[in-house]
Amino acid sequence: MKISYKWLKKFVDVDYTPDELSEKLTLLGLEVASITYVGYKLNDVFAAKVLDVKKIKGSDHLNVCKVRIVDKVYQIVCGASNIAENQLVALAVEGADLPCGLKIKKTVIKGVESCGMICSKKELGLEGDSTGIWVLGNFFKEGAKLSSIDGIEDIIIEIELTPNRPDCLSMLGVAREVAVLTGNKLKYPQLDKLDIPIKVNDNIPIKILDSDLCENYSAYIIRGITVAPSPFWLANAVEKLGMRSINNIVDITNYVLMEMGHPLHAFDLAKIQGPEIVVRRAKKNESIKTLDDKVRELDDTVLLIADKSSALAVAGVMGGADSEVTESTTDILLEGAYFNPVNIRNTSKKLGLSSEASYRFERGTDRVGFQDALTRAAYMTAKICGASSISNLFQDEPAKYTDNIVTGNLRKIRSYLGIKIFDDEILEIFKNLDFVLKKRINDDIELQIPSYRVDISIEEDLIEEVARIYGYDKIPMANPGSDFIDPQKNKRLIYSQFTRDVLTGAGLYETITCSLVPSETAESVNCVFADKNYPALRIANPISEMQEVLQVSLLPNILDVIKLNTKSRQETIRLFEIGNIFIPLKEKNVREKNALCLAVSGNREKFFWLDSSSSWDFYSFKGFVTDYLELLGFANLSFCRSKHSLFHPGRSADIFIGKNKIGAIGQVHPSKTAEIGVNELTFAGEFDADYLSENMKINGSYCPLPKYPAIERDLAVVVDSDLLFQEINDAVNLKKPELMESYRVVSVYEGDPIAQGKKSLNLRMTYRDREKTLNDQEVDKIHDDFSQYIVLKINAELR
Amino acid sequence: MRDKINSIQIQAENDLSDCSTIEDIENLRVKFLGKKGQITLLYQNIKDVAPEDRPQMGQFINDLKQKITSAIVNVKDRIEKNILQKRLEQEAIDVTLPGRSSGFGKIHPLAKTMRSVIKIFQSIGFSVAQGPEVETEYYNFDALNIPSYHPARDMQDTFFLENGKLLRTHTSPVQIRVMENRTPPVRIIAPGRVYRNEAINARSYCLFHQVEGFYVDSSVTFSELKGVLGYFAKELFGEDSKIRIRPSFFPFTEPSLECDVSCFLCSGKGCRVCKKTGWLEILGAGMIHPAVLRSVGYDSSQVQGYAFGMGIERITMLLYGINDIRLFFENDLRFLSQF
Ligand SMILES: [Zn+2]
Repeated sequence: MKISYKWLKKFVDVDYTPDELSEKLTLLGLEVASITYVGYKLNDVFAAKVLDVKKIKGSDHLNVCKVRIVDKVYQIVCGASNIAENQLVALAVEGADLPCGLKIKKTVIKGVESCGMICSKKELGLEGDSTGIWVLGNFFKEGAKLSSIDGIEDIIIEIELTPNRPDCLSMLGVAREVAVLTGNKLKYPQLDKLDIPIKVNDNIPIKILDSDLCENYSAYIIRGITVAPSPFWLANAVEKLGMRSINNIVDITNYVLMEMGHPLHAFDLAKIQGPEIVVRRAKKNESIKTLDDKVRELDDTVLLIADKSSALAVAGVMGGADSEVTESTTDILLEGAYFNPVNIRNTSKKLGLSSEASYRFERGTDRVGFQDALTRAAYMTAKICGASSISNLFQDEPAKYTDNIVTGNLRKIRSYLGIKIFDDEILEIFKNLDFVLKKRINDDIELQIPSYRVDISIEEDLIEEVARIYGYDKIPMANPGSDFIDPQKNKRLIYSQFTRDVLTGAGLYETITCSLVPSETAESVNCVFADKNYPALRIANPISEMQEVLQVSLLPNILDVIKLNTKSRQETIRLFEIGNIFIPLKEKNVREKNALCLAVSGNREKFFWLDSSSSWDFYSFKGFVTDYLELLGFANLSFCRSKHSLFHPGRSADIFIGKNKIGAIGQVHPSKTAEIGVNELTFAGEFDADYLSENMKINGSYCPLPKYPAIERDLAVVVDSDLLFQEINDAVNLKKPELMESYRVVSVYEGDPIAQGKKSLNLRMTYRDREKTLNDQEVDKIHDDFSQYIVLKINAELR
Repeated sequence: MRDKINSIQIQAENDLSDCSTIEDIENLRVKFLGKKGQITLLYQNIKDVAPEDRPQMGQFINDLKQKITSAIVNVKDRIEKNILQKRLEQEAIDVTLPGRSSGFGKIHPLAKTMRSVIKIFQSIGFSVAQGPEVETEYYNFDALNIPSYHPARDMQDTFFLENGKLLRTHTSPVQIRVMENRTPPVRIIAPGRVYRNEAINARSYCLFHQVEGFYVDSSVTFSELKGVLGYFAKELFGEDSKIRIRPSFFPFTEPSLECDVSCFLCSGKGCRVCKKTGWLEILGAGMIHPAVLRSVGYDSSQVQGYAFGMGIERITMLLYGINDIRLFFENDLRFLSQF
């Protein structure tokens, strides 16, 4: 919201500079976003009379004008299309240094001398955008220096108000805060003195049918007015605060809105049927054409201001076009009311229509003070629009307003804030805020809150007021609470930190990608951890098709990252991400899982001048993965072919620990790498980070070093080519001899002299007795028996 | 005999000086000290010397053998050193050429900031808790004193899901979930990802990361909150950092505050980033609203507490002077490698 520094000073004495004031307001909770100086640097701009306008030969738009400032006539070349003889315009004379950056000098345009410039409002820094020159109204005197005209020079302070402070959505509201801040007295706007008859009985019936939505509706009738452009000071005042000047009637309601914070509306009395005012819910299928010329379909949640036959306005949101005040209007009904904030908010949302009025009503307006604003506007209207008579304020029987009483405790206020403050100081703060002390028993107090402070309802609100006025900056910093509370270990955090350290140490970069993905992305990949694939969960109100569904896998995004980095010619791409995936379940349920994704592409190592770097292959990637898992304490991994759609079907594996599928790894499907234009040797994997963090053992355990030597024996077998090593491994683990310490694959060979469809595998077993030195005969016996078992188990031949 | 010894000695000296390879030395050793070497022959010939001269002759031969042996060792040593010298010279490479690097990776800048923030709060007794990103309206709004008609719901545009749930707009639901399951005192921080239904541009993204913190106990004060925030700012932004707190509004805290840290880019003098104010807004906080305490079944007349929440993207952007939030989610290695 914008406030005028000059206007503010009418309501309260301000000793601060605009900068100081802004700082103070910010510390008071009214955050100042910007300070703008307007109408400055206009010392050499005068109100001047246009005497003569002639086209310049050879130009289709330039005119040569004779312009007069009292007794001096200037020749000016002007290109504006709206210039005309007898206008009063703003003339910047030689030497003027305008806010728009122009410095005015004598020039020659198309061979014609020009001794100044006729300015637009934009060039004078009075308006953001202008069409044509500024034609001054009759309110200016020829020869007047613009900078000397009241209201031209001003400082506009823009405040970002939090939604709890609608009471500050006006000049007066901010002035109230400044009054508390400075201790200076608040000066309420005074009613204009009228010398026209007050017609006590001039009124029309008002019926509030839905008093739950409208607590009070009040009005004035003002007759014999002339609708006309506003005087300069009025138009200028509303324009400075960002509103358009329409006519004197509309400008007055806007002026009072800005001044006192209460929305008001004027109807053309002649267009009200009855005449009477009915405040009621809209009927089914009822509609209204609002002031913006749009027809709005209504329903019975919408509150209307209606007459005998039809809707006049959407209550608190916008007036109707049919009852609008026009140039021919002579009598008006000026309304003021208090509407239910929740209802106005819902209506505004439903109609997709918000206005300065709805903005305030939905935040909560002053249910008592609005009548003062109404009276202020009525008197201004009578005075400015030349009324012949004015009524008294009239209303339907108003709902009884109960005072807002909030109780508090002085001791609690102190202890809650942790400050040393005397009772008297606290009570002084409340007094300055116009919170009236109704009762005090020891530390218990009872305060009557002014009706404009809709944000104060509980003791904590009082505490905030004390803190705010006392000064947040003066509150001391106490040591953080030192009570011992059992620290809670967070396995997921320990896991992710450990993983980040390990993987970055191994050369991988961490990525963070968007968990919202296009639906095609989610459809293109099945979830590694789902037994059954349901469609990915959709956002009901997406803003872009790029963020439409919740990701079911981290893999697509990490491939995108590889694509991006391949494009920027990175040769070594090694990445990981830890993030949540959202596994779709039946009936649009979802299971959130923390996942780890690894991906490598391009060279295994960075470019080196001596030789070309080696590429990744399945086994190097798998080795890396198993090393990582082993570091987390996972040794007994088993592998089987993966059916994951993103992977090469022959070069991918699902990884299990017991029955738990903890992940899948593989070469990215060649058609995928081709599609996104990345190295075909791209490998990736996704892991169940929930399982890993829950079950990891990174602290290790100690076992004494062996004292006796180990003996190795080889086992060479010939098996079917398509037998997976996993079968052998399972067989080994099933009946592993007690003295067999470990074993490894030494070689795998296919081809001559091994028969077609067969392969030979050479395994090397390590035997050790931890209690004594083994002798060859013992080992031979164990090894031969075990070899026999393996050969039988996997249907192999000994070689 | 004596002459013989002398001549052998002279011959050995000459031969030794001619040795240039390990082979030469070996030949020389065989020639003089081998089984059929000249020294061995001298020992055999000692029987031809008069018995009374034999001890003296023996001594001479011993001396000679000793001399030749040590001379051989010396010369051999010298030759080996020369050979090694030559080899080392041949093995010399250009040590100024670049090395073979496999390269370390790096933690994402957001994760890095997140880790620092977590560490600071862990150091003063906060534990870490997490919660789901898919939330219900109850946990995200209602339990936090944000009823459906409240204008505050305008402040955060929400992604709703087709199943009626939503993507949390802040980490505050974790606060509710933790309090529901524990009795005071509780002192928790909750880091995590949150979502806002906003158009993506340099200043805003559809998701970001937050750290929420809260402490509920019998007598937690507003000034303690200020102390915690001051400590946090000094730890994260440096010893000289100051904080400024000012009133603000959040439905789930009362009183509420917004916390600024003195601009570390211009030392508070005023620059473009701090919009000439000398202050950078870093977090929101306040005393937990009694309605929130009541919603989890706490007795708001017996316990009170504070809560705070900060955006990790914003802090990271300030710390490194990053001006486009989208960079965090593009993951260009040329960006990631800078942190
Ligand atoms: Zn700065």
